[in-house]
Amino acid sequence: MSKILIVEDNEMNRDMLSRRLARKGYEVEIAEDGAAGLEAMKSYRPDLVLMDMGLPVMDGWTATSNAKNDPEISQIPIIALTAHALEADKERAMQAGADDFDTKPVNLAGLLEKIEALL
Amino acid sequence: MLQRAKYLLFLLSTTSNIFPYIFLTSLMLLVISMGMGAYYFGLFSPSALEAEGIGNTFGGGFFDTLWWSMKHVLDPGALAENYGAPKMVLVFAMFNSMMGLVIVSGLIGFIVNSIQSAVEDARNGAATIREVNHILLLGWNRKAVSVLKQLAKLKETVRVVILTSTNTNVVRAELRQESRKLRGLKILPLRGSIASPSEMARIGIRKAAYVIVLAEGQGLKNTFSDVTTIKTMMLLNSSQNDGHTSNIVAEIVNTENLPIANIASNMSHPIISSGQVISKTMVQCARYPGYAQVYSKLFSLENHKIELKNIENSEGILFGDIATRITNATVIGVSWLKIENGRERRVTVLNPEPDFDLAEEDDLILIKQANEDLEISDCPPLERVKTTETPFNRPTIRKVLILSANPNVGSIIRELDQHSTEQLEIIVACQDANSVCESLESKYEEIYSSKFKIQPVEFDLDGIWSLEKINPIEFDVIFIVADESESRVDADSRSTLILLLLRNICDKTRGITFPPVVTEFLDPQTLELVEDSPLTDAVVSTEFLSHLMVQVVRKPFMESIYRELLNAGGIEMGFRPAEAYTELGKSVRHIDIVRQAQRSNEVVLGYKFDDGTKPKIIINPKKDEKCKFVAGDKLIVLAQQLYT
Repeated sequence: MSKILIVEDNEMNRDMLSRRLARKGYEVEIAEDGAAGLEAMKSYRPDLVLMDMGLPVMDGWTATSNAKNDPEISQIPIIALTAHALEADKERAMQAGADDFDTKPVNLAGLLEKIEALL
Repeated sequence: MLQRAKYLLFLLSTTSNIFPYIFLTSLMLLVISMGMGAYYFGLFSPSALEAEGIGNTFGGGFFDTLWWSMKHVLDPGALAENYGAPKMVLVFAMFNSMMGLVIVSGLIGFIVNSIQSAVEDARNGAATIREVNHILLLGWNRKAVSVLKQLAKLKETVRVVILTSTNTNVVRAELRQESRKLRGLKILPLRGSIASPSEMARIGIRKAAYVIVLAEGQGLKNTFSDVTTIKTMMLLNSSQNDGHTSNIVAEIVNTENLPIANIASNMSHPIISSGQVISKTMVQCARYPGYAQVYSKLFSLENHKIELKNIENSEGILFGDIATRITNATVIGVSWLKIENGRERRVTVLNPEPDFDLAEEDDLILIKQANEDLEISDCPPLERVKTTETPFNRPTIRKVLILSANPNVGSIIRELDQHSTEQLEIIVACQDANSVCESLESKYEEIYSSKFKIQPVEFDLDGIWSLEKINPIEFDVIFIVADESESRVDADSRSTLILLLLRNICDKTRGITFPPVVTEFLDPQTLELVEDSPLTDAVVSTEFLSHLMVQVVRKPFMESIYRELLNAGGIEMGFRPAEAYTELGKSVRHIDIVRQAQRSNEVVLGYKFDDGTKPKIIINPKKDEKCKFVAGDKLIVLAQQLYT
């Protein structure tokens, strides 16, 4: 069973995505901000991270960049999620080191394809 | 000695309620005994027996003497009947009659006082409550009457017990003013501290079905007691540990006190920050002008209600399918129970994707007509709908004018910042504007200048020239907040006058689009006065908060719905142009609109028909209902908030 870490501050988005992934057979862990996400990446050792970009405390871009610069967790694939529908946001996420990108609301089938491709 | 006797008297009279009665009864017995001394001074001598009031029925012994003496103590009129008796007998009779006057009047005084204080206690609400499953309203402020009106609308049959430190005469007077709208509601106002354990026991806290805690006090300026509310929450929490569970909701005025209030309630009861809720609502109204009308229609408890419903054999059914198959309700989300850190939590999710697959134990969140059973049909065939590619301009606010000030201004700015991706330019026009802006700058030091800039403008009610100098038409939105800082002008009058000043400017700039004006009012009746003004959204804070609190206390899951709809990010309620979903001027079924919206991951709540006069809001239309749209008509949808 693959382990997925969802880093998302919005409770409803978090509940919805974690529930849908759990029903697809993934083991899901939650973090509510970028800093907590980095800690969870070290302690929980997920197989993949779904990282929201607009996060409190430490935003998703910084958290992604920090994760990719940390040899301990840099190999964990990160899919950036954002409600910012601008092309520039995608580029910014990829520059920060994200392995892939998706916009909210998520299309689960599309997201699952991206997850499976990175696992 | 005398001092000691006095002190003893003081101790006895302050520590014992029955001491005055014992004292007077003892004094009466003493006087009767002394009066019986007349026996030795010829009470039953032949000359005395000639008097009308002296008799020797029992042989002129002890009982006749006792009767004679007692009669004089209890009946002063008996003195006259001794006419003709020996002088010493008359002296005894006079002594008894005079002492009798003192004793009897003292006894009558005590009895009258006791009755009066019992009546006064009942009037002031010192009674002990013996109700079961009653509604408790703890605290009294201007929202209280509005809360009671909501309960009256719901036709609550149980008694509503009010406990407040406010004088019950004041409470009764306010209730009397609204008696017509409170008809049918059984209200019992009591006076006492809402933070006292003994008072909690007196009002039957352990047997109450719902508890609504309001911030005690009046006015927005520091007179509300969040501390009292926090202590009350601690008391309520400890009472819940005994096994009885009431639905509880509490109001906190200062948002900064919210974390400590949540700790006090052990995170197990919803706490509503009134300042935060009003600020968020005003900002949402600024983003979508006309929003206030939708809110009041959606959450007013009139005609329809929001509820949870479990559908049998729902395992694996897709949300989008069930949403179209339920023909007489709007399915807005899904809810389930989740165990988290050993505690059960009700999860509510609004607007899940149409391919969200339901589990058997899931409940649907529905908007439905009150007292109507759900109708579930087979999936009806989809009709092709022709749409127009309509670019939808998402709301962007960059330049903001805030007129007047109150403690919520900071929250409004903060909320605007949460919704914005660009730097905001804010002008705060009020009395003493420099100090207001300085305090806001220091409060939001970490984001100030990078995210927004605030500029102060001195403005008072006689300052129409300064308002014209600001040039209101240059702004994306104008906020008028309820300013209760001055006793000479009440907040609603001030806001009404500002609207008149804006109308004057609006008239002068005819032909130029005037920005949306969002105003906070405290009294719903003020709305009648401002009909002919540039006002686009009126947020009646007392009414809105009371709707919210009554909804949340009856259905705790509603708290997360309100929170989600008001917060930045996540799911939002918004307007969409009708032509993006259907062909204008052509009759279309609601179900086809619903299906069309599902393609963009949206849930259609209803419509906003705008013929240029007063917009008409329709919530929860039936799926087979047909309607025709014209340019300007909007769909009211739940959608993921996007930043573009």
